[in-house]
Amino acid sequence: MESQTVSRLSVNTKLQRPSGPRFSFAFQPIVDVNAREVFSYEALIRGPANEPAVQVLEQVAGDQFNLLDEKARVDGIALATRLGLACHLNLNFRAQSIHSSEAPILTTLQAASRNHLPVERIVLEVTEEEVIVDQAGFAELINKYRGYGLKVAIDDFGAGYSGLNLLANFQPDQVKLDMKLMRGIDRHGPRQAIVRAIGQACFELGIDMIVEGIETVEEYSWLADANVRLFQGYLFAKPAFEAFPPVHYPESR
Amino acid sequence: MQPIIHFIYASVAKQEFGTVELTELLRKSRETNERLGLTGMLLYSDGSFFQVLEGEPAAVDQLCEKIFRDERHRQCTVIIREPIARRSFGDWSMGFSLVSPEQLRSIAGLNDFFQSGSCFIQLDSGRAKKLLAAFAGGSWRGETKSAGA
Repeated sequence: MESQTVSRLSVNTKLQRPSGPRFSFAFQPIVDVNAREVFSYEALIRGPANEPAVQVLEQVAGDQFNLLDEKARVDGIALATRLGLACHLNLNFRAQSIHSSEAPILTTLQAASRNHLPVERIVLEVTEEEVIVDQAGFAELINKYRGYGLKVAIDDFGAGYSGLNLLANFQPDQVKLDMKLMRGIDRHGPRQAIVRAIGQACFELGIDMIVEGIETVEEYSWLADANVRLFQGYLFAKPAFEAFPPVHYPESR
Repeated sequence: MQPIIHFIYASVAKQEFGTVELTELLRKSRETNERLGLTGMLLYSDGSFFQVLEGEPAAVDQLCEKIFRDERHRQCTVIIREPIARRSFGDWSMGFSLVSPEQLRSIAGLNDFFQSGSCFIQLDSGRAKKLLAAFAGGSWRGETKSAGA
């Protein structure tokens, strides 16, 4: 039923895109430390020979960012499924790109269908900063597509724009806590209080809270004690170019 | 595709519901839901309700408005109302479970708790299941008026 809907909607979404820079992806896992399994992979844009993302982005003209963003999701889905993806796939999404056209989402849905990836596995990551400008408008637009099963994550949550108030207007499927909150959290009372409060809010809203940028066993141990389950960071796995890297599950102290 | 939403709320019974009252409540709600094309589940524990309703937006909203006006419960709390890709309780005009406070405390894993044949076994790892875990953890539940809490 869904694939029919998607193909019906596919009329008029052919892209008139100039050839942009060449790019590929590295994948970094988000791990569930309780189940000791990979919960999702985030696709991170890289140059065709694993150059840093910035080298791809600096080749893009200002008005072409949305197109690159859209094409990156299509190619990211194809590569991840070729690598045997069996969990979620987190893809970056420029929230403002859907205000003018449906195409950025439809091409993502079509790519999922073409690669036999259930739409429910796709998580669009938008930054808190982008959504905050028009929370209700964004919620209305994105909810239409959530009816197809697409999931949404708020990236860099708690970076200092809206905080918890955003969750009153829009309840995403995931929030990813800003990594600045994690630095030395094992010894930092105010950061601990904030992470506990966000954790409680997520629990009561059925939102998966993902903690990013964990680098030390001490930080990990405090978070694990606070019942955090989902992690992304060098301590578990570095991003791997065009591959799903092995995962290290640290022992809590 | 006709859009479908789920509406999840919790409330507190003004008076303890016994087997007779619950049976009657379920009979009526299944009748209504079948007429409106709604599916869902209801969990009752120690004076607190947790309910998931799913279906077309207009039908869901209309019924929820009526439910919230019902004098037999209070503290009606809308936990979430959002679009879903597919029904979690497609086979259930209203799945039901009556659980004791002790059972509710042991619910944390959920998978071990609900036996096959229960509507809850069909729950995927989506929002409804996570919210049910929060309910089991004490969120939105009323003061227990009966002894032994």
